[in-house]
Amino acid sequence: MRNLKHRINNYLGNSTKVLGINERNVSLIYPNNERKYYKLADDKVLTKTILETHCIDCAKTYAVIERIGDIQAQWQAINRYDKIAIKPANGSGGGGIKILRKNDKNQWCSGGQLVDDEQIFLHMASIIMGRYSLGSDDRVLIEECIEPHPFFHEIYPEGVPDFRVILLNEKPLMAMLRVPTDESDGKANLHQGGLGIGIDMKKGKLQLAYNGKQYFESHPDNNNNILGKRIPYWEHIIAVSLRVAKHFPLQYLGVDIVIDKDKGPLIMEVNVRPGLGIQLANQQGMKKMLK
Amino acid sequence: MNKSFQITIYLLIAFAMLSMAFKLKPLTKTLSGFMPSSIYEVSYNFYIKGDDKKVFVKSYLPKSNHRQKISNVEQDYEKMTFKIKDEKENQRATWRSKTTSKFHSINYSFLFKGKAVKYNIAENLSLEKASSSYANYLVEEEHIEVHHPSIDSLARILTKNTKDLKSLVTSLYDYVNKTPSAPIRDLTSALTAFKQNQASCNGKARLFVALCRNRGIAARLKGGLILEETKKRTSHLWTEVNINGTWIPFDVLNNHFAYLPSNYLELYTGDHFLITHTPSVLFDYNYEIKPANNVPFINSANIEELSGHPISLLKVLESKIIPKSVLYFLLLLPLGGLLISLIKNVIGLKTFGIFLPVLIAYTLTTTGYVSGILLFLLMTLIVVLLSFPLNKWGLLYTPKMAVVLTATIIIMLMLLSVGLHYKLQWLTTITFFPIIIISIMAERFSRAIEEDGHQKALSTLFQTLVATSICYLVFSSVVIKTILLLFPELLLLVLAISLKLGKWIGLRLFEYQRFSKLITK
Repeated sequence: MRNLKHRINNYLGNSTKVLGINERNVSLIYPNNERKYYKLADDKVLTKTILETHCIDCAKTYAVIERIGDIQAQWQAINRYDKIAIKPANGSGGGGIKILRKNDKNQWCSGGQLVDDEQIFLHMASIIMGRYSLGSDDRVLIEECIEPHPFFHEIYPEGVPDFRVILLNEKPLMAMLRVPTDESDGKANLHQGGLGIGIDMKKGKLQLAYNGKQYFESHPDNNNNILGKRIPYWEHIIAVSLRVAKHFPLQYLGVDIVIDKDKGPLIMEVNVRPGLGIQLANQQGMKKMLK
Repeated sequence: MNKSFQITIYLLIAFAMLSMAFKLKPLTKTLSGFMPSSIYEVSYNFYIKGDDKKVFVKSYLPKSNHRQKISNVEQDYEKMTFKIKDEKENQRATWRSKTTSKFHSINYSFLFKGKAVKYNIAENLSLEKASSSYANYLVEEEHIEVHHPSIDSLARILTKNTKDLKSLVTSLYDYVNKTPSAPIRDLTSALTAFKQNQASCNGKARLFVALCRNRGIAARLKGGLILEETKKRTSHLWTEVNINGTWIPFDVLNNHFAYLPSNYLELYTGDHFLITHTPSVLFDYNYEIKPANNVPFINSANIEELSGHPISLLKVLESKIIPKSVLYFLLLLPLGGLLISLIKNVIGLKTFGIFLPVLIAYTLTTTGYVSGILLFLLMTLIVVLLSFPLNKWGLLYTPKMAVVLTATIIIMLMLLSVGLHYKLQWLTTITFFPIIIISIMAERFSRAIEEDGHQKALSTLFQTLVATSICYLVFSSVVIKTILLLFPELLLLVLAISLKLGKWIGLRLFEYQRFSKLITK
C-alpha cells in the first residue's frame, strides 16, 4: 500500500517535470517569440542573411534563385562547384532537399544516380512554384555541401548528424545529437527513426542514445560506442548557439548545428518550435531548467 | 493582461449562471420527463355529406402510454355532437350531425410525441399455454381463422422443432415476414393471406396473429398510423404478442421484431376499422401529418413564461425563421469546437483539420453513423486515388485543389445517380457531406501518406474518426441539444471553458505515454 502511494507520488512528481506541448506553446513560444519574426527562422534564406550579417558560421550560400527565368543563368555559375545542396527556403522536415555531387566524368549525381540538367531545373522550378511550401511561392537555396567531421563517422558512417541546442533568453537549456540509423534512411529526425543522444552540457560528453523505444550505450546498428564520448568543439558549439540567440529576435529557439570536417561548427537551421523529444534523449524533463 | 483574462472568464460564468437561474422556476413548471424521438402534429380530416339523413362518423382516438404522449388536442366541427366512449382497450369518438343538412367537415388534431421501444425476449421461456385471463386473445375471429385446417397445419409445421417461446415466435414471425408484400387495399383475412402467399400489412398482421393464437400464444392486432411528413389515407396494422404478461410489438410488414419505431402512432387494439361512418353517403378523409417544432421534455402547453425570458431561443424556434435543424446546428457547433479542443489539447489526439470532425459528426446525424462513416471513407479514398496522378504530374497546389474538388463532385453526382437507380438510400445521403472540407482533408491525408508514410497517415485518419465519433455521440443526444436550446447561455460557458483551455498547460494524456520513460523513472 505504501509502495503504491510512493509510486503514485513519484509519478505525479515526475510528470510535473516534463514540458508538454501546451505548456511549451503557452509559456515559452507565445510570450517569447513574436509571430512576425517566425519567418526569420522558417525561411532558410532569411536565417542565413542574419547569420552572415553577424558573421556567424554557416554553410556558404552559392546562390538564391527566386524566379524560374533565372534558373539557367544562375546554374551556369554553380557548375564550377563539385558538391552542392539544393534546398527549398521554406521547406520543412527535410522535404525537397537534394544533394548533388560530380562524379569523375564531371557529371552531376544524386544518391549514386546520374541526373541531367533538365531534371535539376525541374526540381528547382517545382521548389519555386511551392511544391514543398504548401503552395506559396518559394526560393531555391543552393549552398555548399557539408562534409561531416570524422567524429560523426565514428558513430555512424552515413548522413549528416546534427546537434540541437534549445535556448531560452540566451541561456542553453538542453542539447542533443541526432544521428541517422539504418531505419531512418539517412535522416536524423527522432520521429523518422533516428537516434536522439543526450548531452552532458557541462562536460561536453554524449550520454545514452534513444531511438523512440529504448536507450542504448552504443549505436544499435554497428555497436560503435556512444556513451561518454567526448564532443569536439563543444565549447565552440555552445558559444555559437549563444550568438545565434543573441542576434535573433526570438527568445525561445532551437539551433541546429553540424560540424564540418574543415570549417568546424556551422549553423544549419533555427527553429521557432523545437520539439520536445529532446527531453527523452536526455532522460529528464526540461522544466527544471526553466527556473 | 492575465487579470483582464480572469475577469472576462468570471464575468462570462457569472452572467450565464445568473441568466440560467432565472429560467429554473418557469422550467420546473413545464418540465416533462418523457423523452421522445419523434414529434408530429397529426390531424384527422373527415368530410361527410348525407343528403337526407343524419350522419355520423366514428373513429379511434389515441391514448397516451409509456411510449407515446398525446397532447394539445384541438378539434373543429359544426352542427354536430361529439362523444367519446371507452370500448375495452380503446377510446372511440363519435361525431353525429344534429340536422339532416348538407356537408360536414371534421378536424381533430393533436400533438404526438413518441419514442421507440425495443424488447429483449428471454431465451428458454417455456411453452406454457397463455393464462385464462388472455382467453380473448386466443379465439378465432371473423378474419382471423385460428383453427382453420390450413392455418393449423402451417402452424404445426413451422413450430415442429421449436422448444421455447422465443424460437417459436421467431419461426412464425420469419414465415410471415418472408411472405411477399403486395399493395392490396382490401381487407385480407389470415387465411387469404396464407393462400395467396402475398398480402399487405393487414393480411400479414392477421396471419401472424392467427398463427400465434393457434399455438396458444395470446396475440392481438394493433392499428395506427406511421407518421411522416405527408398527407395520407393509409393506416397501418401490426401485431402485439403477449410474452410473459407483456404485450410486445411486432411489425411483420416492415420487419420490426419486438420493436416499435418512434413514429408509430398507436390508435386502437383489435380487429377494427379505424373509421366507420353512415353507410352510402359521400365521405372522404385524410390524415395530415407534420413534424412539429416541439421541444422535447417541455410541455408546450405552458411555455410562455419560459419563452418570455430575455435570453431564449424558443421564440426564434416558434417564428420558424430558421429551421429547427439549423438552429440545433448553430448551437452544437461551438460545443463541437470545445470538444475538439479537449480532444486535441487535453487528450492529445491528432486530427486532419481542426473542425472537420465536428462537421462530419454533424453530417452523421443525418446519414446515420455506420453508412456515414463508410461514405466518408469512400470519399477520402476517391480523393486519395485522385491525388496520386496529380502529385505525379506535379500540379500547383491551388489548381490541384480545384481539380480535386471538381472530380470529387462529379464522382459524387455519379454515385448519387447510382444510388437513386438501384434504390440504395444510404448512397444518396452522400450529398449531405461538406465536400470542400472533405476534399481539403483528404488531400492532406494523401500528402501525409507521401511525407510520413502509410502508417502515420492512417493513424491520424483513425484518430480523426475517433474524434468524429466522440462528437457524434454528443451531437446525437436529444438531451444535449434540448438543454442548449433551452439554455443558450451555455454558449457563454463554452466560451469560458475554451478560454481557460487556451491557457491550460498540463500534459496531454498522450504525452503521459510519450514521456512515460521520464515519468515512471
